[in-house]
Parts: sequence; structure tokens; C-alpha cells
Amino acid sequence: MAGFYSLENKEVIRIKVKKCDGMMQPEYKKFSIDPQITSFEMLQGILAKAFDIKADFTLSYLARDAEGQEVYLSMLSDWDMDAAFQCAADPCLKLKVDLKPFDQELDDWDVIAPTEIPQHRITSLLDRNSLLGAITSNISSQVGKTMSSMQRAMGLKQSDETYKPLKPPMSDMEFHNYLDSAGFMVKPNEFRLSIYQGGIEGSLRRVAWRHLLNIFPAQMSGRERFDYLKRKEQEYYALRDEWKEKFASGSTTEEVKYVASMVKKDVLRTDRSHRLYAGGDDNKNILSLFHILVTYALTHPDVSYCQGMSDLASPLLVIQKDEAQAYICFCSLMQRLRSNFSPDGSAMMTQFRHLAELLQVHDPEFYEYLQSINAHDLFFCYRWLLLQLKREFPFEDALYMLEVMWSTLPPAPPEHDLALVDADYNVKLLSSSPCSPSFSFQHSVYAKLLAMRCSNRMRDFAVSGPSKPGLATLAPAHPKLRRQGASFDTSPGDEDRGLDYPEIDNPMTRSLQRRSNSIDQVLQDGASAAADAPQENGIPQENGEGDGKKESKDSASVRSEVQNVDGVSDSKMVRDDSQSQNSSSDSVNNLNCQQNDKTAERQGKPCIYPVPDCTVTVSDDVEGSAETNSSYANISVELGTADSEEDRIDDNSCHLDTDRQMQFNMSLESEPGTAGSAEQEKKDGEDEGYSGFFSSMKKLLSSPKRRPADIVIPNDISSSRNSSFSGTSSREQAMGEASLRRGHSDSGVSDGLVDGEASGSWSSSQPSQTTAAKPPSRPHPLPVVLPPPQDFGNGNPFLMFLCLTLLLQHRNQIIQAHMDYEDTAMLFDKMVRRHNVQKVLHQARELYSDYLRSQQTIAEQPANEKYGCSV
Amino acid sequence: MCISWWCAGVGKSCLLLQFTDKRFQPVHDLTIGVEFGARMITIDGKQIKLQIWDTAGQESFRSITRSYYRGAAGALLVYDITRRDTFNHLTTWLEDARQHSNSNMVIMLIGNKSDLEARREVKKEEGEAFAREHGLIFMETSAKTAANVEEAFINTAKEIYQKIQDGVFDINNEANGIKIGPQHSPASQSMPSGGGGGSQGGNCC
Repeated sequence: MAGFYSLENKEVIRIKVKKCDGMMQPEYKKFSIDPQITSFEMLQGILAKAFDIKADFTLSYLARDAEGQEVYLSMLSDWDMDAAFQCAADPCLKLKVDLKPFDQELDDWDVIAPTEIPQHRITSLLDRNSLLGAITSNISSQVGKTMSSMQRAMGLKQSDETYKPLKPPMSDMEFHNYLDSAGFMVKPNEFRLSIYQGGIEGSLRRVAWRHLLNIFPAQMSGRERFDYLKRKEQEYYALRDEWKEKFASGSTTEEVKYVASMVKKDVLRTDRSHRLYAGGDDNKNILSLFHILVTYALTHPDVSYCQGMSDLASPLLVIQKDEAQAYICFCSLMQRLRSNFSPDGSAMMTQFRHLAELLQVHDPEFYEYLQSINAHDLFFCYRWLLLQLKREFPFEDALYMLEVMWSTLPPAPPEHDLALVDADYNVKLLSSSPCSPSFSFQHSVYAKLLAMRCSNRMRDFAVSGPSKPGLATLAPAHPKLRRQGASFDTSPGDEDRGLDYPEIDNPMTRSLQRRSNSIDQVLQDGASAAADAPQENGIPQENGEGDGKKESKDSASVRSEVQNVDGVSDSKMVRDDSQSQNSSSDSVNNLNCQQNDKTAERQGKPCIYPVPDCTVTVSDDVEGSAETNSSYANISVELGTADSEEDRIDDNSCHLDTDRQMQFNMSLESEPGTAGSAEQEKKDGEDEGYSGFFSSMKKLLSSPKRRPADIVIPNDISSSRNSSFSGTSSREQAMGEASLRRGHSDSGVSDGLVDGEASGSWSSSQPSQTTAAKPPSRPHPLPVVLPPPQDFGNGNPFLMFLCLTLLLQHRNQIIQAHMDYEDTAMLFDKMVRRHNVQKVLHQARELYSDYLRSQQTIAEQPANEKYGCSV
Repeated sequence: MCISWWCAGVGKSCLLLQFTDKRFQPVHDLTIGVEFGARMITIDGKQIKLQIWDTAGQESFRSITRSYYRGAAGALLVYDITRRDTFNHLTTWLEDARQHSNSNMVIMLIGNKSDLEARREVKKEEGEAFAREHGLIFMETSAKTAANVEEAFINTAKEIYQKIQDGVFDINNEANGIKIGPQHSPASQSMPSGGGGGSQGGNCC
């Protein structure tokens, strides 16, 4: 498309505009613009300013159709605008402005092909400053993007100068630098890094968010993206209309009605203060939000609808301004976040735990204070995590925060096509008529409950020595639970269910049992018709045989759920699962041993904690070191395949008191990839995705006053940690020590957490071994671990640092006022939408780059030298 | 003190806002997890700080919200008089709440939205009968007009206070949701407060 229109030959486009507002007298205005520097958003800005329009409006232009008849065609994008300039601008372009909410004409909306701007326009844009004043003569030039950057700049002045972002928000012009002439996204990492540093101009968000949210498969030209989006939109409308038609004709099932009524209640109170959702309850945008959420719930029966989703979807609709496109973005976003809504609650627990660990590393004093008021579970941060902090900032600021956060995640384009439905959606449709997706509320209640309760118990009473059965209850995604989720008709099976949990038969669980039965009752009554959902609609992954098998099957099911996302999130989820198992236990050796056969399978990844100056390496038993070496090699090759070698190694790690130093040296000497260099390479390649991204980010982040990261040489750390370096970054030191502690604490490998983290946390190309060091000063080994980026915070480490920042920014207030749990929780509750986004992002970025640097330091350790997974 | 009910949208948050801020906000953010409110009241000449936890309605938050019940001294159980489904499952909820909480927890049954008389689906008598049967205090309120809102909270607080006077609640046990001031708080003699030990309190399950 880039070559379709050559705009150079037109220097000025004269425009006549007619503004129509319902029955009111139309208003007319005329002006001129330079087609080479005017983007669609700028044009909209000009019009809004010219007519003083506050609401949304649609734009169309007068063109001649094939028969020569005059027709108004919608102008929705730069592409349309270019077409209009080209074909309908002689002698002047006639525009019509209609004041309507955008989705009144939703069906007419075309897809925006954002990147279809000819390359030569970019260069001409470079001269924009010199041209602007001259050409947009009768209209203020400070509109559109200029205006938004002005506002940003002005906003910055108000806040403290020190909080200003590292660079101005990404502009349309800058964006095109990350694409090649055919519109291929050629610099995805740089694209993200730029957003990380300064966000995106409002006018570019619509386009840039689609890339940030990974809705496009890799390697698509602008043209292909256009077609893809168009196709996906059609797909969405088909999905939506499927239930909508039934809904309208009254032939729908009770489940659909139930979901619809829940969603309706919530969209009516989601972001209603935003102008797009304001006004009466018949607001068209609210209806769009409703459609998006109901469609998602019905096409993702395992997730269905949960409160909080409307908060996540709302900004997407605001930015995309199109129901179908917002849905596509939502699907992509939910692929990453759906586990937060999952019934077992393990994803949320992982994040609570990681946040607590992070706080403990950074601010032990505050952490201890929270501990003293029993608030160190940080449950009061629930909303933060579930809504990705979206509600903690004013809406516009939240958009900025969200894009910065997304930009910290490695690009994860869908392999072929972004799935708009769950894998089993069609099956369900076929197997039950008419449309009766099953629901997961039930297992939601029960399983989550179990998980929570048990983990609470474990945390509180870890000393009481959790036994294997107890642990089994910590793995909440029990196959049986999934079966419950598959069917509403469970009351007859209540006793059966009891039998399914022999391992948790104690007073506590019995009462849980009773309760869950009563919950079943509620739900059953609440959606009586839903009880018709046939049992055989069950989720595929039920009925494991044998304990260990169940576990692994289960994780396999988790895998399959996310398979279509990408390989990375796959392993991530599996590991989270296992981490949650170990989450709350400060427990004992035998625990790990018992668990190992399972965790090995699930974690599938060995680990290493190389620490700069460390001398003590903890690893497997020494016997047959040669053999162990070879198994290292294998492991580094066959990661994630849960082979027997791994099992053995994990097992071994239970008794690692012997000759650590020696073992460490051995592993250093072992050569990687002897068993299959192809696979090794493949693995490395996958690993690149994560560590490559994070480290490239880290490198680029080093601000001048900081010591550039790449200068950090491994052996240099020991001295720096003690002296000069600590001045540069005390936080980094803290993190380093954390790693040390982490390593150390497995001098009682003992520590369930350490073991769990250990096995799950290091990047996949590392040999399976644990390196440890003597703790710097701590009297007791702390179970403090900062997992690597791909694991931290469920693969979203930056969210952890944002949350940490919010905590740190109020820590003095809390400690000085001796706030108790409720006061603390209330304080943060009342801070809803009141945090200062610049201040928070500023601090979070600093903390985050310290973290990346410390991770880098670890990564650059011997293993790195050996395996060349440097960055 | 805890405001609870299974169903979303019965007006829990609005009731709380009316009580703590004396205003009605028809469009309120849907509650994620647990939200909070607090107000000082005076009972029997004593300053009492009521801390109220507003729990989310949807089941998916149950595990989070449930952890808060444990330490609560009182609970408002809210249903919507214009939606019978919210009334129909009171028994189940009650069983669950009693199982889960302190056995002495004062529970008040609230039929909210009494201003919407025209759309009433649940008769006042039904609410009264249910309350009588289960030994609850009952009141119909309107968060919109503020009718009975003050009374609902304060009566519940009085009931708790009475139980303290009678020695039913052990005020030295924070798991009961009661704390004696004023170590760290504004001048107050006795503080029945919501929640207490949070999710850590008690023997976990």
C-alpha cells in the first residue's frame, strides 16, 4: 500500500467541514492542511478544536462512487484520510462531522491499518516543525499530537522535575522507525524500550497497543496486519452474534442469562466517570463492553466471567474505540492474565508471595513491621494485582502505567493466529445443544478455598511439619476439582468428593467440605438450569491415575491451556504451579524429597544460583561426578521434558551437604550440549526470548549516572559489594545479598521455598545445581528469593516493582502512625486512583533496573561463560 | 464488622458509603476483594471506632473475603428487596458464615433498597420471619435515602457492645475483632472493630 498514493505532489489540501449535531443547524468551517504532515489524529484534533467538540464524533468525506454519485464515506484512519486526500480533494475536500458515540456506527467501522503510511512521509514529518506554523495557518497548531505532548509536558512541570520520564512519549513519527518500509515490525525490543521510557502519545496508543498486546503474529507486513485484523473482527462478530441472536430470540440457556446478568451489573459500574462510559445506562460503549465480556466468558468456559475483567477490558475499549478490536486485544491480554482469575488461586498466591519476598529484600524493616501486624501476606494488595494496578491511578494515568508495564514484557506474538476462543469451545458447542458452555464458578469456590486455607495453614503452622498429604492439598488444581468445574450437577456426588480427598480428612477440611457443599447448593439454586450442563462436557484433563500422575497431568493441562500462547508462558505457568506448592512452607527436607518426583516433572527446569564471589556451591551428591556432569549436559538440552535424569537430580538435591565446592567446579568443567547441540541451540533460542529481552532492556536502561551494566564483571562483584559499589547502588547490594541468602538458605535445602524456587527459577539453559554462598551477615537464612524475570510475579516482574513502590511510598506513614492491619488496608484502599503515576513509575523503574542488573550479574556468572547465554 | 452477601450488586458498598460519608453514590466501583470504611460512633458515652469491611459479592473473591470473616465481631447480611434470588439463599449463607466465623458474631439482616417499593419482590414480613427464625436482627434500609442506614450499623454495634459488657466476647482476644483503645488510635475507650486478625488470625481454618 505504501506506494498507492503519492502525496508529495499536493502541498496543501483545502478542507470544508460541515458539522452535524442531531437536529441542530449544521455549522460550516474551512481550513487548509498539509497532507504530508497531517495524521488522522491531528485532523481529528483540529476539528475538535475548530468546533469545540468535547464528545466523540465520526468523520466522513464526500467522494464519488463508480457511477459518479456523491456519497459520504467514513474516514476512520490515516489510510482513509490518505485516500480522501488523493481522490476527493479536488478542488477541496468536503468533510462531515457527526456528533455521535463512535459505536453507533460500529458496524460501519473499518479497520485501521495503522502503519500504512508511506515511508517518505516519515521523512517529511521530520521537517514538521518548520512547516507546521506556515501551513495550518488558521488553526492552532497545538492540536493532536502536539497538544498531547504539550499536555504531557505541562503535567510534568506540575510534578516534581525529578520524576520526569526518560524520554518524551512515543510519537507516530518515532513509531515508524521500528517498522520497515513494508510495515514489518523490525525492532520490537526497541519499540518496547521506548515505551518503557516514556509511554506513548495518546494518538498513537490505538495502534501501538495492538503491538504491545501481541495480537499480531510475528512477521506481518502492514498489509497483512490489516487483513488479519479484518478477519479477526469478522471472527469476533460471528462469535458474538451466535449468542446474541439466541439471546434476543429467548432461546438461550440459563448459563448465558446468568453470565449476562453478572456482566451487566458490572459494566454498569465500570469507569462510569470516563466520558465514553458516562451518561445513561444505555450508553453504547457500555453495551460494547458488555458484548466483549459476555463473548469472552462464553467462548472461554473455563475462565468464564469474573469481577475485575471489566476493569481490564475497559481501557482497551477506550483506546481501540472499536468493540471487535478491543475484544481481540482483550483475548490477548487475558492469555497472560487468565490465571489470575483461575479458581485455584495459585497464580495470585505466587504473586503475593513474590511481592512479600521483594519487600523483605528491599525493606526488611517495613516487612517486619507488616509481619508484626499480621499484614505480611499483603492480601490488601489484591486489587492491585488482579487489576494490574489499573484502578490505583487516575484513568488517563493508568493508561500510561499499563503501557509502560506491558512494554517490560518480551514480545510474545501468537504463533499463527491469536485464538479468540478456548481450544475446547467448539467441542462444547457441538456436544451440547444448543449452546451450553459449562461454568467454573463452582470449582472456583471450592478449589480456591482449599488452596487459600491450606496455604494459610501452612504459613502459620509450617513448623508443625506438613506431611505429604497436606502438600497434596496445596496443589489446588486437583483433577477432581476440575471435574467439578465442568458440571453444575454435583450434589449427588458430594460423598464421592469426600472420597476424593482422603488426604485432607481432618476437622478443618471436613468443615470445608460441608461448606463447599453448601456453596454448591447456592450455586445450584442460583443457576438451577445450569445443572443441565452435561457431565461429559468436562474439561479434558481429568481423571489422573496415581498421585504423581495426577499432578503431572494437571500441569500438563495447564500447559495445554496456554499452549497457544507460546512456549514461554507455558513453562512459566507450570512452574508457578509448583511454586505455589512450596509457597508457604518453611519446611523440611523430607518434604522436598517427597515432592521431588512431582515437582521435578512439573518444574521441569533445573536451576542455578551462581553468585559472584561465592565459594560454596550446593548441588547434588558427589558420587559419580562424571555421571552427574553428563546429566547436566542432558538437562540443559532437554529442559522441560521431565526426563528421568532431571528427576534424579532433583532428588539428589535433597541431600547436598557433601562437597559443594567440588561439585561446583565439576559443573563448571562440564561441557554443554554434548548430547545434542541442535536441541541445545533451540533451547538457547527460546531462552533468548526472555533473558535476551530482559537483558537488552537492562543494558539500555543504564542511566548515565549509574555504572553501565556491561562493565560489571563477575569477579568484580565481591569487592564492590563490600565497598565502592555499595555506594552506587545499595539496592543492588541488597538484591545481591538476597541472592546470597537464597543460596545459603539451601544449606538447609530444607527450605521448601528455596527448593521450589530453585528448581523452577533459573533460566533453562543452566545446569541443575545450586550455588550458594555464605550469608553476609544474617544470623538466619531467610527464605528470600528474587526469582528471575521470567518467573517473578508470574512473568511480570515490573508489576511487582510497581507494587513495591506503592508500598514503599507509604511505609513511613504506616510505621509512624503505628497502623494496624485494617488501617493499612484502608489507607491503600482509599488511595484508589490517587497515586502519582510519574512518581511511582520513576521509582519503580529505578528499582526494576537494579533488579535486572542484579539478575544480569548472576547470569554473567560462570554458567554464562560456559554456555554463552550472555546478553 | 463485615458487610456480606453472596450476590453482587445488592448495595453493600452504597450502604457503607452512606454510613461513613453520608452520601449516596449510585455508581460505585465494583468491589474487588475487600474494601474498607471506618467511622467513630458513640455508644453509652463511649467512643467506638467501627471498622467495616466491605466484601466483594462475587464468588471468585470468596476465598479472599472469607479470610476476613474470621475476625469479625459483627456482620451485616445484605439482600436486595427487589431481587428475590438474593433473599433465597440466606440460609445457606448463614450456615456458611456461622461455620466460618466467631460463633458469637452479631449478624444483622438487611433488606436494602427499600426506596424501590414499586419493584419490591421480598416482603418485609418475610425478612422479619427469617430473622426471627435464625435469631438475627432485621432492618430494611435504603442506601439511597439513608433510611435506617445509621440505625443498622449502630444497632449492630450496640449489640456487640452489649455482648462485650456481658462478657460474651473476650476483649483480650483480637480474633474476636475487638480491640481496646487507645494504644495507637485516637481517644477511644472501647473499639469493636471489624476484622481483627485478618487472614492470619486463629487457627487458620
